[in-house]
Amino acid sequence: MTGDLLQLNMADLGLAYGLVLLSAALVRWQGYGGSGGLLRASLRMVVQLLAVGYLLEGVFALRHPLAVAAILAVMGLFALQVIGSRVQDKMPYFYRVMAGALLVGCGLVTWFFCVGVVGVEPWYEPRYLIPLAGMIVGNSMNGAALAAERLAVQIRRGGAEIEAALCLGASPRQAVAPLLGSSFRAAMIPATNTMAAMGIVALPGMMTGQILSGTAPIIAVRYQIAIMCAITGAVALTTLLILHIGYRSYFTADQRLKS
Amino acid sequence: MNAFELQHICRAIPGDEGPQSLLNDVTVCFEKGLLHALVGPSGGGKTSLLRLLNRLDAPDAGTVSYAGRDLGCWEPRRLRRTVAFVPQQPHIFPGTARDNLLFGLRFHPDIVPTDQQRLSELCALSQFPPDLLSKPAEKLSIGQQQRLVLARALCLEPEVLLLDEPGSALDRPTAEALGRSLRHLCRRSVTIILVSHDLEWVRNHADQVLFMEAGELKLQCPAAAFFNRGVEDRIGRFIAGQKEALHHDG
Repeated sequence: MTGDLLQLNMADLGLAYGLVLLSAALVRWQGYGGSGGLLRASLRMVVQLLAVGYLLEGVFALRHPLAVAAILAVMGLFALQVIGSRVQDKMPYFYRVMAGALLVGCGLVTWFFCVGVVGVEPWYEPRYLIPLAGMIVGNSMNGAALAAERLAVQIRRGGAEIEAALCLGASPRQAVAPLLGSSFRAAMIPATNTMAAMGIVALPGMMTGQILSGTAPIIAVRYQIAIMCAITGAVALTTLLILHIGYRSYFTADQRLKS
Repeated sequence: MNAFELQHICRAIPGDEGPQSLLNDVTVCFEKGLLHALVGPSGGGKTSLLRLLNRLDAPDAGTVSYAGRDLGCWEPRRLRRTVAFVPQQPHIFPGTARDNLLFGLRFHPDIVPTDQQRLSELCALSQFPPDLLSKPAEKLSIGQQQRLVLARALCLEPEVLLLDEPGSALDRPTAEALGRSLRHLCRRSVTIILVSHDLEWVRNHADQVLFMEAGELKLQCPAAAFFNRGVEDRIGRFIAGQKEALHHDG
C-alpha cells in the first residue's frame, strides 16, 4: 500500500511554504501587523518538525527502550512546562501534582492501549509507542491545564462557600465537591467536543495521515476510534487525579482552608 | 465552668510591610451558658478571635482549649458541629430556604431528621419567618439570610454559637427579638460568643463584655459594670462615642 504514497521532496515543501509567505505578505499589505510573528512561528515549526523527524528516524532504527524512555521523558517535561506557562493561578505543590497526575494518568492509559489494545511487541516499539504517547500526553496536557486553572480560580473565589460548608461539619472533600465537579466538566469539554465533531466537521489528523500514507480508510477509522477512547480515558484519569490530589493542597492537615 | 480557655494567643498575617498582628497575647476565658459580647473599634481582632474558636484559623502562639481539652485534640469536623460559627456575610447554598436550613444534616447522618415541629422551633429561635421556607434562598433579604444561616447552624444542635454581628442587617424590633431568643438558648446551656457594634443591644442582652482594640483584650467584665464606666479613659470614651452615633442615627 505504501507504494502508492506520493513522496514530498524539498521543492514540494518549498511550494507549500509559499502559502505561509503569501499569508504573511497579505497581512503586511493590509497593515494588520503580526506578519513577523507568523513567519517566526512557521520557521520554528519547520525546524522543530525536521529535528523531530531526524530524531525519530534514529530512535526507530535504534529500537532501544532507554532511547524511547528518554523521548517520553522529554515529552513529559515539555508538557509540564506548557501547563506551567498556561496556568496563571497555580495551586500549592503545582509541579509535583501535575507531574504525578500526568505520569500515572498518561502512563497507565498509554501502557494499557499499546500492550492491551494494539498488542505492540515489544512494548517499547517506538513506531507505535512514541506517536500514541504523544497524542495521549498532548490532550491530557490541555485537560490538566484547564482543570488546575479552574480549580484554583474556584477555590480562591469560593472561600466563603467552602468555609460555610466546613462550619457545618463538612470534610474538605465534601466542602469542595461542587467545585471539583465543575472543574472536571470544564477540563473534559475539549475532548467531548472533539468526539462530537469527529468525522463530520473534520477528519482527524491521525486518520488523515494514515489514509494519505496508503492505509485503508476503515483501518484508519478503527485506529482513530481506539485512540480517541484512549485520549478520553487519559484526560479523564489525569484530570481526576489532579482534582483529587490538588484540592488537598488548599487545606491544612487540621482541615482549614489555607489563606 | 469554662467553655473556652485561651492562653497568650498571638496571630499575625503577612502584610505589605511585614507581618500584621491580628491578636497579641490574648488570654481569656468564656464561661459556659453565658452570652459574651466582643466589642471595640473595627480591626481590633474580634472576628479573628472568633475564627480561632472553631479552627477556621490557627494561632501562631498560645493555646486554646474547649471543654478542658486542647483544640488540637478535637477532630475538626466534630468540633465545628459542636462550636458553630455564623459569619457576618451569610453564605447561601443553591435551593430553597428549607434546603439551606437542612444543608448541614447531609454531613451528619447520625442526627435525627428534622420534623415539622423542629423546623418551627428553629425558625422561632432564629426569628426566621416560617412562611419563607419554600422561597428560593437567594431571593431573601440579607437580614432574612442572616437569620436563615443562624437557623442552619442551630439545626446541628451546637453547644457553642459564634456569631459575627448577627443583628447588623436587622431592624431594632427584630434584633431585640433575636436577643431574647439567644438568651433563651443560654438558659439551655448554650454558650454564645458574638461580635457586635450595637452597644444598646449588648447592654440589653449580654452577660459579659470584652473590649478589644488593636489585637489586644483591654477589658473583660460583666455587662452592667462595663456600661457604668465614666468617660475618663479610652473605653469610656468609646462607649460615649457609640451612644452619640446611635443618637445621631436615630
